[in-house]
Amino acid sequence: MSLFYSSKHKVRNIYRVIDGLLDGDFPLPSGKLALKRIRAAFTEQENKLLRAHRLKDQDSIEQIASVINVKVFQALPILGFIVRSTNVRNAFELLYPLQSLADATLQGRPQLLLSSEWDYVPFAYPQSLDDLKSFVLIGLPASEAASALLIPLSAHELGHAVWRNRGINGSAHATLQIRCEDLFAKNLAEFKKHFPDYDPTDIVNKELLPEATAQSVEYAVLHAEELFCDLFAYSLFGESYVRAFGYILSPGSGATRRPGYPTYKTRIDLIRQFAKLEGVELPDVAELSFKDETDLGNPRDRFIIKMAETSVLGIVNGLWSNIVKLLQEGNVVRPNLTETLSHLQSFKNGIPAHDPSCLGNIINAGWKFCVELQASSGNPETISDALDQLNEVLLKSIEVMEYNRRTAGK
Amino acid sequence: MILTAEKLATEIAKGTRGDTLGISVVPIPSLEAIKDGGEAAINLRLGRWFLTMRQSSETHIEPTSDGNAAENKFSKKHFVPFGETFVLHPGRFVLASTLEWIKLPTCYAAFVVGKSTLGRRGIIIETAAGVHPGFAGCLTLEIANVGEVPVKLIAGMLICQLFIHGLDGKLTAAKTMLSGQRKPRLGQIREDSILIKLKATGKR
Repeated sequence: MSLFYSSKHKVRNIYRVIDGLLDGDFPLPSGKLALKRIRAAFTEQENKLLRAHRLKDQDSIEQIASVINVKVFQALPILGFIVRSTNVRNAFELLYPLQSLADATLQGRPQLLLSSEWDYVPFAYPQSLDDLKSFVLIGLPASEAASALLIPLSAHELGHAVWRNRGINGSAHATLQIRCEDLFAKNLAEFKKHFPDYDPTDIVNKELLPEATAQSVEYAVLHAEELFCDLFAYSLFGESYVRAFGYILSPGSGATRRPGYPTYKTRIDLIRQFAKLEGVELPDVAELSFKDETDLGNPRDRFIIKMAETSVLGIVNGLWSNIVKLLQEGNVVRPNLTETLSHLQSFKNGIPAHDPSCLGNIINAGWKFCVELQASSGNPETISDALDQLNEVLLKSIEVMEYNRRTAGK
Repeated sequence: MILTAEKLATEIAKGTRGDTLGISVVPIPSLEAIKDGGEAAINLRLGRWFLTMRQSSETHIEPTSDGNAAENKFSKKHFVPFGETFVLHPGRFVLASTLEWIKLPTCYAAFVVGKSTLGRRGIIIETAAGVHPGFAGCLTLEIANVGEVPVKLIAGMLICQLFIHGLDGKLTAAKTMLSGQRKPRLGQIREDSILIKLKATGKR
């Protein structure tokens, strides 16, 4: 098949898939809107392709065919994500409050898509998808997609969108660049110990220092983003964020070190530190006692990572200030103990919260009850059944919050 | 005796304050509207989850505990956002839930009656189904269109009424503190000992 017809046919087949999906049921308009945007992007390429064909412009056909290939490659996983976002395994009650949080913390008119993924990691697609610029795509593991107690993890993923959307990445990068360069200069002796070939007079080996610094800056920015997202999620959900974090990641393998991520221990310690500043003592429980992974990896990598970690620690206060300001500007209600305890009493009575003002209070009360249930001396199956029942009460409480807001005209 | 509007408002207010002897209805209906309306029932709204029956490789529904495993093959769940519609065609049947989560204390029981305005348009909702003392959760509604034209069911619309009455005597709660569902379900069919005996002897 000629390049023109193969490209044209690829677009036609994508249309078929999208049009079929558009006939489905969508819990929120954002899914349909995303499909229409993706379709429109293919229409634009198809029009260009037809024009090039009319003009017998083979160079342009090749160029457009290449773009279409890339777009098909990019679109298929997103289409899969959108399909999974309509599956009834998802707790659709979570969409409204999360969309409200996105509206309050992101600029523009963000469109949230919440889906379930076949990977055991919560994740967010970057907000910079070419054809879906205003969309935030958050995926939760399919097996946990209906677990209300884990919804704080979505706030961490939303944090990644905030990091880019509010330009925090740019300012953090500039600061971390300076801090890393400064740290390498101050620790030159240690650098030379790990990089004995370094020679500032040698045309090749003199590059070892800027290369290592650049690597450290790259890690520092990634670490800063993760810590920002942790603090962002903590600010919205309080203790329940660390509980959800522990649930999904504990006990951690402790066997490998991912250089682009701060250690679990660092993450929990930092949240604990900022919680303490607010007068909140986070629980000292086994599932949050992650092993220290800083000794893993070779000495060179450890040094580069250590420089990154040290530079990041210098900006965490600024990251927290940014978050507090963001939430104030967005009029976001933060969790409070009084309302949490009131919800907890309702749950103990077997009824949902009737006047929730904040998603965090519902989930915090849920985790408190969960901890109490586990501590009770019942049959494990009975307690597991009770945890399932608790999930029903939590999701109904979340729906009640949406109903109250909608009927109050908010 | 069926509770009057005044008594209903008082009992719901008690339940809202966390008194486990009161009646809990969440979201809370307007107590003023209940009192002012003077009806001896609480109006309940249609929830957002629906369960339809579908054709499958199964030949029939088995009304015994053996048939429970095939529940998912026969049914399909749907979610409808607030204000959006689920169209029920003539001759079709759907399970839905009330939006409200109800919890009755052990001193009250209740029965559900469909809105007569919908009944006159062919929509039959739960024929006087009983709600036991101590019940908690969203009520599952069996909705059928026995009319001749399709009818739109809107998530959040008023769908039925709950009449509540006292008991002659006292019950102790048989259920655990946490129970109840937010979605409609077919429920588990349990065979009683008499039926098991009848089935066994019938083969001889």
